[in-house]
Amino acid sequence: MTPLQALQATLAAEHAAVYLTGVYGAHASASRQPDLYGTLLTSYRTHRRRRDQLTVFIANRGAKPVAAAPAYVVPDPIGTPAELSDAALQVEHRIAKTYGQLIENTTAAERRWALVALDDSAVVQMELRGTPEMFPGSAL
Amino acid sequence: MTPTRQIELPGARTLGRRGLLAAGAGIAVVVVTGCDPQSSAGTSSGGNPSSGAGAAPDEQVAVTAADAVASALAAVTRTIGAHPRLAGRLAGLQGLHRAHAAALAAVLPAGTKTTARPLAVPHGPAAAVTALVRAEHDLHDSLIGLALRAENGPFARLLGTMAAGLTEQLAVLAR
Repeated sequence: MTPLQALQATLAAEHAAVYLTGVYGAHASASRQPDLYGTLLTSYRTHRRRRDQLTVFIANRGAKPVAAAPAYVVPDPIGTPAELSDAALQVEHRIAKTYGQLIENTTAAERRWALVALDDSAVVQMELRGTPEMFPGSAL
Repeated sequence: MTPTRQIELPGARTLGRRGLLAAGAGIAVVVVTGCDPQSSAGTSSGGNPSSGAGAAPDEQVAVTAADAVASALAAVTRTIGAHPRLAGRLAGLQGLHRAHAAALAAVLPAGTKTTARPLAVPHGPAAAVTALVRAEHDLHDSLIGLALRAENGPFARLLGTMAAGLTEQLAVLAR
C-alpha cells in the first residue's frame, strides 16, 4: 500500500466515522446520558477535524481526496445506551486499525499525525469499553 | 477511470444502492470508489501483534524500546514491592509492560539481552504513583519517537499500538 492509498483509506474511514458518530449522537440524550452524549459529540468533532486535515494532506500531494458515500449502514438496533455505546466503540475500533495502517505505510509528519490520532482513539475506545487494551490499532 | 463500485470501509459498510432501497430509505445512493483498506505485507494475523512485524532494519530501535519497556516493568514491580497496597491499581500497567516486552522479544534476534534502568521508589504511595506516572509518560514519548524513527512499517505500527495502549493505562491511572 502506498502512502497515498493509506491516506485515502483513512479519509474514507473518517467520512464513515463522521456520518456514524453524527447518527449516534442524534440518538443519545444529552440530559439522560451526558457522558455518552459528550463522548459522541467530542468524537464527532474530532473525526470531522481529522477528515478535513486528511483532505488537505491528500490535496497537497496533488491527488483528489476520496469523497464520502451518501450513506453508511447503521447497525440495528441502537436504541439503548449500551447499544449506542457498542456501535460507537465499533467505529473507533475500526478506525484505530486504519490509523495503525497509516502508521505502517507513511513516514515523518503523516506518521506522526497517525500516531496522535491512534492515541486519541485509544482513549475514546477505553471510555466506551470501560477497560484498556494492550495493542489498540493493531491489525488483529 | 476506476469504475464505480461498492467498497468496504474500515469504519463502516457503505450502503449500496440495492441495500438502501431495500431498506426503504428512499434516497438514491452513489457509492464512491476508493482503495480497499489493506495493510501492507507483513502485518500480523495471529494472536501476537508483533508476529510478522520483525524489526529489520530497526534492531537498534527495537533494543532501545525493549530496554525502555524493561525499565518500566521493573519500576512498576519495584513500586508494587515497596507499596503492596498499590498492587491492584498497578496490575494492568504491569500486565501491559509484560505483554509489550513479549511482543518486542518476538521481533528481536534470539538471545538479545535487555537492560532495565533502576528507578528509585518514593516512600509514600501517592508520591510513588506520581513518579511512576511521570516515567510512564516519558516511556510513551519514547515509543512515539521510536515509531517515527523506525523504517520498517509494521514495526512502527507495533510501537504505535504500544504507545496507545500505554495511553489507555495512563487514563485508567488518572481516574
